Amino acid sequence: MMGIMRNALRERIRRKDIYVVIVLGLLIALMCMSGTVTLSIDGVAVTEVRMLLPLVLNVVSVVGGGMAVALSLRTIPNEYERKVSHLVWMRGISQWNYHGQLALANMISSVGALFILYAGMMVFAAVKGETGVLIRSIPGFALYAAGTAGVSLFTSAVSLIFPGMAAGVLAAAVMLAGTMQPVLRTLSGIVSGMPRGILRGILAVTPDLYAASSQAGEFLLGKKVDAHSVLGGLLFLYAGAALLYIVRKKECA
Amino acid sequence: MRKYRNQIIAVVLGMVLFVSWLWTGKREISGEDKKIYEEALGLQEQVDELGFGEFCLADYPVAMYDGEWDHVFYDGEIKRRKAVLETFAGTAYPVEDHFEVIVPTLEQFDSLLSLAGGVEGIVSGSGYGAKEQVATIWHEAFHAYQLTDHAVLGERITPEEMQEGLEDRMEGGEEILSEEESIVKEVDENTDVRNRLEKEMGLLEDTVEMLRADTREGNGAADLAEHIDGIQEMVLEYRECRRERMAKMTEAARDAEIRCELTEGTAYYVEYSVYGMTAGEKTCEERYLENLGRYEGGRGKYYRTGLAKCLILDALAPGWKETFDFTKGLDEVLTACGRM
Repeated sequence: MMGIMRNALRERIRRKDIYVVIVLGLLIALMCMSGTVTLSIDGVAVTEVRMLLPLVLNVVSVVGGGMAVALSLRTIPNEYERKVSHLVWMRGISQWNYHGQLALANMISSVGALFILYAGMMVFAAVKGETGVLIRSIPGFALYAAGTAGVSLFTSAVSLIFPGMAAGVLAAAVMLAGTMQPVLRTLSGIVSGMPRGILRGILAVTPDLYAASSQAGEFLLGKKVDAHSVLGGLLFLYAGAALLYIVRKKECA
Repeated sequence: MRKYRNQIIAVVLGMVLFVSWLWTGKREISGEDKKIYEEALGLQEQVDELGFGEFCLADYPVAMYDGEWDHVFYDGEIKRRKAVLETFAGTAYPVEDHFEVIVPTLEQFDSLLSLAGGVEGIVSGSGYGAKEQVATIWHEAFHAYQLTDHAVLGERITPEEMQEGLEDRMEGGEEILSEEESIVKEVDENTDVRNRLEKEMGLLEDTVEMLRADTREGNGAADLAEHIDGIQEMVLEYRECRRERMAKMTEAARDAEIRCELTEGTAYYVEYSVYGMTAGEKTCEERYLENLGRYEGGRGKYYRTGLAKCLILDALAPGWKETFDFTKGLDEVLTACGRM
């Protein structure tokens, strides 16, 4: 039933790019958590897990979003370029089923890569004796991964509509605008006229991925989670899936 | 119907998700901001002890701007309205027939200051928190008090007049230099005047440091009496430097400086005092007094010279606020108290 997805995942593992992306992400996470970090707030070095965790989660969330774009951008177009799709049509498999399985493979690999970075942070929390954080880490990851999963689905969907470069730029732009929403919101309050209109427009059409992923930090630290932000992440995930369902390719033999 | 069962389930799920998202997204002011306002109000009795007559925070509506809406705290209620000043600023602003305090919400203020802090600021945050926000609210409320209850340097301005002035300025109809522009042109860009002012700021900082040292040593009044000649001497030296510098400036620039120091210096003094009440003396001194002599372009330096003069007045003429009514500059107040 899920043969297409399994094959796509196997290919993903065979390819080396996923390892490169993971190593790169791990490097960034390790840099943030190492003793060489020079962040300080009001002159106090930021080293405590409870202070550092939300910051590292934000950084990893951006890296995770980038990985999701990189891992999801070429999967479906490559299938069409290799004419594998013809074999699928011949077997009577629907486009939605085909695209859905490929997008699911993208999503699993993106979330899996994110989990490796997340696990690194949890090891750091364990070393620091933060048992409360560890206990909440699994449901916390579900909250954390919704945005990355959404980015992966959205990238898969736009890769069906636009050529490679345009799809990549669009997916990366949405991901960056989503993870930088607080910065854009603040900028929109500083500028006026047309720039404000443009920023407000970007804010209106992009998901608040920052708020969605930062709820994981709140949850891990035992603070109150904002339901609106979590639902925003899930809605983006849903929108990605819906777009994937709506967009169809011409089935030429 | 059965054929479309999965699609119908998916659409219903999407609708539920969307409605839930909309429903939970009612833009109310956060609990943290409400707590900040309550905490600010709770300091009224301690602020009364500063001695500024009828100055009362509850007299002025406090609007917190969240980037889209103003959430106005007044008379025990919080009302949401379209933002009157669509920009992030801490200020006392004319609204209809009165002045209101307008500040960004804590989240927006923190975000704004984080941006100003570059990459490190964006990643780590600004360090601006609830205590700083409480102090800012009191600072701006003090401006509302100055504008509502006093004729600053003998000139009273109504909310309507201020609104008209702001509109003229926005339309480019006013050709007179603003306070900031006068200061930049005649102080910051004139090396001689600037050097003299830097020296004055150093003298004020040293005077305040000497007063603080007396307080720290524990004998307060006794130590002060012992050092009073030294302190008076420094104040007199400062006064002479200032007199010589002022002679090199135009009347407009002198007025701008005196007005800025009077309004902002006293408001900064209230902010400093409130911050001390919530954050403790040590943290407060680190934040406000350790850079008291630092020169900066524009109006910012007069916040600090004004604060320094208020602290000197507190030490040398503790009853100075009994007759203080904003009709004279802080140097004149020092002179009137017989300390210069």
